[in-house]
Amino acid sequence: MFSHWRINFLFIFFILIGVLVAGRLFYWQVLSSGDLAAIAENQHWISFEIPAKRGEILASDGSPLVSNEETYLLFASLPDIKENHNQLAAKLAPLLEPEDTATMEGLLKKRLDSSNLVWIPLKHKISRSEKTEIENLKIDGLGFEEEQKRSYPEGSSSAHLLGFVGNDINGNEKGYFGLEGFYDLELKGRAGILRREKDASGKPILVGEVKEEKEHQGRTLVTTIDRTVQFIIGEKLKEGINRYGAVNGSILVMEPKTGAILGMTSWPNYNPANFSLYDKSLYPNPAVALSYEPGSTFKVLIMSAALNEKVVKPETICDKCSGPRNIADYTIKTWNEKYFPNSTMTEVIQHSDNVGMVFVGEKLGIEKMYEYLTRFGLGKPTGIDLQDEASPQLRPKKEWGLIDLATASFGQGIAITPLQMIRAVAVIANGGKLVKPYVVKEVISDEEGKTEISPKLEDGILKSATTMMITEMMVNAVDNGEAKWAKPKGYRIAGKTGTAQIPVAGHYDQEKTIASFVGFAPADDPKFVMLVTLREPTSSPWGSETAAPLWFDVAKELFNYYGIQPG
Amino acid sequence: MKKKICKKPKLVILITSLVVILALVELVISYQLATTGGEMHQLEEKAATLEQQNKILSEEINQMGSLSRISSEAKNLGMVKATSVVFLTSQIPVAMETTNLPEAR
Repeated sequence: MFSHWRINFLFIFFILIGVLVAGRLFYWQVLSSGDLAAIAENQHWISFEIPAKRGEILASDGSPLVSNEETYLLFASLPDIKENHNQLAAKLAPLLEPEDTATMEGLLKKRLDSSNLVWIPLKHKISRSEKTEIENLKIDGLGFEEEQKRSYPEGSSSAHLLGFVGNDINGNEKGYFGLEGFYDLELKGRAGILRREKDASGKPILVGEVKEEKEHQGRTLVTTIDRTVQFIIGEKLKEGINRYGAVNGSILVMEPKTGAILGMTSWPNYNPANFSLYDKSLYPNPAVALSYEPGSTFKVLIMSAALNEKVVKPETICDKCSGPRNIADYTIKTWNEKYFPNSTMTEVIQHSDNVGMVFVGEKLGIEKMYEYLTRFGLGKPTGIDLQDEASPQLRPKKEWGLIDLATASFGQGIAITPLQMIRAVAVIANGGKLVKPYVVKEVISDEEGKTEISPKLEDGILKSATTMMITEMMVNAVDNGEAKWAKPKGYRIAGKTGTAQIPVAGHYDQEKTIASFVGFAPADDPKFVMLVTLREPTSSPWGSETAAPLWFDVAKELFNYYGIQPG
Repeated sequence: MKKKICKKPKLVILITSLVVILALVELVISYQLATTGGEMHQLEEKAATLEQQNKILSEEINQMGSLSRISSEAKNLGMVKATSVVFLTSQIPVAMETTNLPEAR
C-alpha cells in the first residue's frame, strides 16, 4: 500500500511536470511565437531602409528649379538620456528655434516627459549646420535620421508654377498645387529595404543571406520653362507692380507654335519652402486658376472670328459707329466717349472701339460667336499639366441675348483665365492652330529612361489668310494705338491692350480695373506670345498706360535674349 | 598480425592530419571572411561618406548657379545692365572697301 502511494505520487508529479513543460512550450510556440520570432529576427538580421529620393524639377536647360536638400530628424532614445529633461530642453531650444526659444523649450520638455515612449522625434528637417551644433554638445541619447527637404534655388518667382510639398493626413509627403500636385505620383518614389544576416557584433555576415527590395527613385521632370525668361518676367513684374501701384499681376509667356510654357509668374507669391507661413489664398496660380473679364484684348478674337466667317473685311466700314448704341435697356459707349464714324475694322481695333465691336458682333451673330468661343477653347480647361487649373463655364447658348452678344464682342460679361486668353491668341500667332499648353516636356525615370511629351495641336481653327489679316490689324493697333509711345522701335509687334472693369455685387466698379496687354513678336514669325495682367493699377486705370509699357519692357529683354533684331 | 599493427597508426595519423588540415582550412576561411566582412563594412562607410560629400557639393552648385544669386552678386560688384544694344548689319563695313582700291605706286 505504502509503495503504491509512492508510485501514484511520482506518477502525478511527472504528469504535473509534463503539463508544466507542455504549457511552457505552448506559451513559447503559440502564444509568444510572434514576439520571440521578432526578437530572434532582430538578433539575427539587420535592416536598412533605402530612402527614395523625390524627383527633381528641372528648367529646359537642365538646371534645377526644385531639387532636394539633405536634412535630419532629431530623435531621443529616452532610456539612454542621462541628463535632466529640463536642462536638456533648455540646451536644445536655442539651437532648434532661436526666434521662439520659450515655445520650443516647452514643446521639448513635453515630448521628453512622455514616459510611455522609448523613442521620440524631437524635430524634423533640421539643417546640416544645426546637426553639427547639436553633435558638438555630446549629449547621450540623441540621434539623427536622414530626411529630404525640397529646395528652390531660384527662390519664390516660380512658386505658383511649381507648387509645394506638404504632408497628407497620414503624415506622408504629398505635392500640392502646380507641378508638385499634378505630377505627385511620378515625383514621389518608393523606399526600398535591405536585410542582411549579422554577427554578434552587428557586422554583416558576408556569406549570410541578403534580402533586398529595391527602392524606386522619383521621376525627374524636365520642363519647358526657360529660366532666363522666368527670371526676367519675375523681376519685371515686381518692378511693374511697384511702378503702377497694382494689387497683383501675372505674366505668361508661351511658344505659340507648340504651346510650351516658357515662363509663368504671378505676384504676390509665397516661398514654397515655408508655405505654411503664408496665407492659403496665395497658393493657387492666378494665371490658371483665377478668372477675369478680359476686356478689349478679347476684341481680337471676335474680330478674327468675323474675318474668318467673311462677315467683315479689314476695310469694311462701320456705319453704326457715330455714337453710343442702345441695346435692350443698356447704352454701349466707347472707353473715352470719342466716336469715329465710318471707321474701318482696322481702325475699330486701333481705337479699341466698343461700338465698332458691337457692329462686328451683330454681323457674326450669337450662333457663330458661340461656335468660335468654343473653337478657341473657352469654357473648358486647356488641359495644362498644372494641378490648380480652373475653367469658368460659358453661359449656355440658349441664354444669350442681344446684350450678351454686344458686351461679349468687347470682352465684357464673359470670364476666362489668363491661360485661356493666351492660348486663344496663340491661334492667331501660329496660323490658326489651337495648342494644348504644357509645362513638362520630358519625364526621366531610372527604370524606364526618358519619355518625351510632344506638343498637341488642333488644326483649322482659323484660316491662314484670316490670321494674317488680324495680325496686320494688331500690328497697326500697336504702331498707331494708345500704347505706341512705349513700343520698342523697329520691331513688328502684334498686340492689343485691355482695360476691364471688375464686376462687384451685380455691377461694375467704377474705379477698379484689370489692365492687360496680349501680343506676340516678331509678328511675322512669332517667337513668343505674352500676356501681362495688372489688377487695380493706381497710377492709371488703363492698360495702355500700365500693362502695355510693362509688356514692351519685358519684350525688349526677350528680344535681346533671343537675339531678335529690329526691322 | 604484424601488418595489422602497422596499418592502424597510419590510418589514425591520416585521419588526424585530415581533421587538423580541414580545421585549419576552415579557420583560415572564417578568418578571411571575417576580415573581408570588415573591409566591406569600411568600404560601405567610405562610399556613404563620398555620397554625402557629393550631395553637399551638388547642393552648393545649385545655390551658386541660381540666376537670382548671380544677379545680386553682379549688382554687388557694380555691374549694370546694358541700356542700348547695337546690332551689326550684314552690309560690308566702309573700312573694308579700301581693300578693293588699287595699290599705291
